[in-house]
Amino acid sequence: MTDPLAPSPLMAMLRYGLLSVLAFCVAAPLAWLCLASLSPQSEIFQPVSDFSWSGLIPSRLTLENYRALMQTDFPMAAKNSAIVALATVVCGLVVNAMAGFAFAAFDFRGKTLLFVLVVASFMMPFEAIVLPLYVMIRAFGWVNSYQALIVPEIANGMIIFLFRQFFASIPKDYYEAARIDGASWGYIFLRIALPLSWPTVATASLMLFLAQWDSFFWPVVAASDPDYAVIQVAIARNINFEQTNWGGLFSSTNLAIVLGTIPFLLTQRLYVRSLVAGGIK
Amino acid sequence: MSTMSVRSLTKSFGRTEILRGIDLDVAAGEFVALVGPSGCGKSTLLRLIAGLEGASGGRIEIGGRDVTRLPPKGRDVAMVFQNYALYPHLTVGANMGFSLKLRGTPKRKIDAMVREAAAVLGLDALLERYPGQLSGGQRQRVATGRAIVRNPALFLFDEPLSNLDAKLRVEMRTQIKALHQRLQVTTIYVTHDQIEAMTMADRVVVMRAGRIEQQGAPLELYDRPANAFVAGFLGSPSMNFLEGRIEGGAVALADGTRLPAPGGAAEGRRVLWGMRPEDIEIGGEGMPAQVEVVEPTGPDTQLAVRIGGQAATVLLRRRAVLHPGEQIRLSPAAERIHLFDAETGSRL
Amino acid sequence: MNYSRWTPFLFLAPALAGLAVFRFAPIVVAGAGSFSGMTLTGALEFAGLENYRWLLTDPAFWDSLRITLIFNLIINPLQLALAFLLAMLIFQPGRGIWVYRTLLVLPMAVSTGLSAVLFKLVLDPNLGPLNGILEWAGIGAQPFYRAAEQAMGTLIGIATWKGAGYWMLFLLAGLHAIPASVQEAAMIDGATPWQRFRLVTLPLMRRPMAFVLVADTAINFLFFAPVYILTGGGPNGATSVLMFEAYRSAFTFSDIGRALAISSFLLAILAVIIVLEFRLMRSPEDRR
Ligand SMILES: Nc1ncnc2c1ncn2[C@@H]1O[C@H](COP(=O)(O)OP(=O)(O)OP(=O)(O)O)[C@@H](O)[C@H]1O
Ligand SMILES: [Mg+2]
Repeated sequence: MTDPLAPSPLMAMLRYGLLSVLAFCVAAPLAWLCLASLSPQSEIFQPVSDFSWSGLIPSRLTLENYRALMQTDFPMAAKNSAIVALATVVCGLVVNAMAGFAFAAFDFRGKTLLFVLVVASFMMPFEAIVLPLYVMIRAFGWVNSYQALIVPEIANGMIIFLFRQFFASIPKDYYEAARIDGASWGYIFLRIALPLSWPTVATASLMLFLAQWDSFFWPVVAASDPDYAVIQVAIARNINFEQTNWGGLFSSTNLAIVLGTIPFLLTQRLYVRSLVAGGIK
Repeated sequence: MSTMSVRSLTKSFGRTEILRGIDLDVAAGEFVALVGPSGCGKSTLLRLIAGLEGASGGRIEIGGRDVTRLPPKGRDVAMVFQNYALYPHLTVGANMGFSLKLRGTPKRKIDAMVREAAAVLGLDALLERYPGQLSGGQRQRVATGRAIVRNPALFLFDEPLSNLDAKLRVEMRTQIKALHQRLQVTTIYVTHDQIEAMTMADRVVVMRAGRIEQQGAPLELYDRPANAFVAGFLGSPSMNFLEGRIEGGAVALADGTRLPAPGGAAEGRRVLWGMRPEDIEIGGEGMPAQVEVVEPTGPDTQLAVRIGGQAATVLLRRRAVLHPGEQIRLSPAAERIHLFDAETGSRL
Repeated sequence: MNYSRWTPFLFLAPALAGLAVFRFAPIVVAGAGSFSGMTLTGALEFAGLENYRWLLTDPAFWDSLRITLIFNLIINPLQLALAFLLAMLIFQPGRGIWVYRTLLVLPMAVSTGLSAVLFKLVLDPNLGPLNGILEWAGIGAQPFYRAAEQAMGTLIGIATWKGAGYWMLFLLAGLHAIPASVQEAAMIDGATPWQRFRLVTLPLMRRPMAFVLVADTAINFLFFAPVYILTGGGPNGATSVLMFEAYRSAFTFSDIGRALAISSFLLAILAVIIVLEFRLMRSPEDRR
C-alpha cells in the first residue's frame, strides 16, 4: 500500500536526476584527470578542433607517466610534503591535545578569555596573516626551511577546541580517582585522557594534515625554493613554467589529489562530525 | 466530532511486523485510551491514524470516509506530541494559529479563534512569547491549544503528559478531561499511566505486541479482565498470581496450601489464581502467610508476603502494626477471585 | 581538584605560545608595519599614514577592492544557495544517497592549489576537454580565464566546485537538528511540502545559513591560490583581488608597507566578520 509520506515517483526522479547531474559535474574533472594520467603521452590531450568522446578513453592504460615522474622534481616535493605533514601532525597532536586538556580539566584565571582567543584564532583564516608572518619569518631567518612550513601550523585553535570538547565530556571523577591514587597530571593526560580520545586524535590528525595539504599561499611565500617546495607548490610552478612535460604534470597532479582524498575518504564520518561540531556549536 | 474506525490494520517496518491486525471502532465524541507495554505499537497505531506513516494493510476511516491513502493534510486530525513539537520560531499565538493560516483563514478570524482557545487553556498572557521561554506545563498547554483551535474531526494524543512532573500531570489530566467534556471531540489518547487511562477514558484499549488484547469501559476491564496479561497490566500494585491446580473445588498450591476458588473449573487443571492486593484482608480463617516487608505509605499499608512459598502483595487501606517474619492469615474476598488458565492465560 | 597554580599553564604553554607568535603577533606586525616603509631587504622606517594615503589615492587599490567586493557579492550567496540545494537533496534517506554525498564532498579534500591546476588543464583553450565538448555541442570554445569578461566567472566556478559540498555539510547538520516531530506537526496542521519548506524549514535554518554565509565570506575575502595559478590577477587586472594585490605589492614591487596596509585592511574586515560569527554562536534559540 502506498505510504502517504513517500515522495511521489516524479519527485524522486527529479531528486536523483538533479543529484546525478551535480555529482557528475563534481566528479567528471577528477575522473578525466585520472584517465588522462593513465594514458600514453601522445593521447593525453586532444586538440579542441578534433574532439571526440571516444578520445577521452585511453586506447590503453599505462603507468609510463608515473614512471617518468621519478626523473622530475616530484619525488623531492613528495618528500618535503611528507616531512612537513608528518611533523605538523605529530607536534600538533601533542601541543593542541595538552591545551584542550587544560581547558577541560582545570579552572584557572583568564580561562574564558583565553578560550575566546583560541576560538577567534580559528575563525580567522590563516591566509589573512601570511604577509606579516612572512616578515616575521624572514626576521627569524627561516625563509626556505622546513620549520617555516611546520612551526606556524602546529598550534591550531580548531584542534584545541575539538580536544577540549572531548575531554570535557569525560567525567572529572576519572581524573580525581587517578589523582587520589597518586598519579601526576602528566601521567593522567598521557595514560588516561589521551587513550580515551582516539576518535578525536584520528580527526585531529586528518585536520592537521588537510590544513597543511590545503595551504598554498603560505608555502608559496615562505618556501618556494625547489629544495623545500611542497607538492602543491611544485605542481603549480610546473604548470606555469614548463608546460611541456604533460605526462609528468598529469600524473603528479593526479597522484597528489589521490594522496589527499584517500585519508579523507577513510575517516570521512568521524571527520565530518567534528568539523560540523566545531562550526555550529 | 466524528467516528473513527480501523479494520484489520497492519504495519511492518521492513520484515518486522509491528501491528498485526488491529480492529477498533471509536464512536463520535468518545474518549478512548490506548495502553500497553512499551514497544507494543501504540504510537505506531496513532501515527497511522494521523497519516504520518503509511499502512501496510487494512483500512482507516474517519467520519465514514476512507482516509487510508490520504496524507495527514486530508484527514482533519490534530495531534499532541509527547515532546510537544512546537514551532520554535513562532510565538505561542502563531503556533496556535498556524493551521488556520495555512488554510487561508482571514487574520481577524484567526486572532479571535486563537484568543478563544487561549482563554480556555489560560494561555492569554503568553500569546506573544516563544516556546523557548515557556515552562514544560505551559508548552504542553500550547500544544493542546494548537490542537483544539481548529476544531478537528479527531484528537490524537501521544503520551502528552509524560514529560511533566507528578503534580502538573494530575492538573493537566483534569484540564484535558474537562476540555473533552466541553468540546466533545472524538479522542484517542495513548498513555503509559493507567490512572490517566482509567480516569479520563470512556473506553480503555489494552494492546500487546501489535494486537488488541481487550477493550471496554475502565472498570469493566478492571473487574473482568479477559486474560492474565490485562489483569496484570491494569491496577497498581498489580494483581497477585499464584500458580496451582484445581483439586476438589479449590486451588492447591505446590506446598499444599488451599485457596478458595469459584466452581466450574475442571478438576486437575493448572491455573493462575488471581487476586488484587486491595481485595485481601487480614484475619479470619483464611490462608496462612508470612510477612516479609511492611511498607506504610501514610493512609495505606502495603505488605509483601509469601503464600505457600509464592510472593504476593497485600494492600491494606489502613495502618497496621505488623513485623517481618510474622505469621498471619489472609482472607480474600471470594467474589473477587479471578481464575486464569496457566498455559494460555485466558479467563476461566 | 588539587593542582598547583602553574599546572594548567604548563599544559597550555606550547599551544598558547604558538598561537601568540604565529596567529596574533602577525596581526600586530601587520598593523605596525602598515605605518612603516619597509622594503624586502628589511630596511625599516616610520612612515606614519603614508601607506594608507598612498593606498587610498591608488586607483589600483580601489579597483582591487571593487573586484573583491563583486567577487564576494556573487560567490557567497551562490555557494550558500547551491549548498542549501545540495543539503535538501541529500537530506532524506534514500537508496545510494551516500554515494552522491561522498562524491559531492570529495573536492574538499583536493587542495585549493591542486583544484586550480586541475581546472587549468580542463579549461585549456587549445587542448582542454571542456572546450572540446563545447565545440562538439556547437557552442564553440570559450576563453574562460584568459578573457577579462570570463575570468572572474571561471574563478567563481572553480571555487564553488570545491566549496559547495563542504558548506553543504554544515547545512545538512542544521537540517538534522530540526526535530522530525516539528515537521510532522506541520504536516498534521495541513502544510503542503512547499509550505513546510517555506514556513518551517527555512526559518529554522536561519542560523546555520547565517553561519555558512559569514564563514564563507571570511574565506572568500582572502581568495588567492586560483588567482595566482590561473590568471595572475589578469587579464587586465580583472581578477586582481585584494589578497593578490597585497602579494604583488610585497613580491613584485617589494613594497612591504603597502602589502601590510592591505593586510591590515583585510584583517579589519575579518574582525567584523568574526564578531558577527561570535554573535551567531552565542545562545541559539534560547535567546528568544
Ligand atoms: N520507523 C520505524 N522503523 C522501524 N521500527 C520502528 C519504527 N517505528 C517504530 N518501530 C518499532 O515498532 C515498535 C513499536 O513502536 P511504538 O513506538 O509504536 O511503540 P509504543 O507502544 O508507542 O511504545 P512506547 O510506549 O515506548 O512509546 C517498536 O519495537 C519500535 O522499535
Ligand atoms: Mg510511543
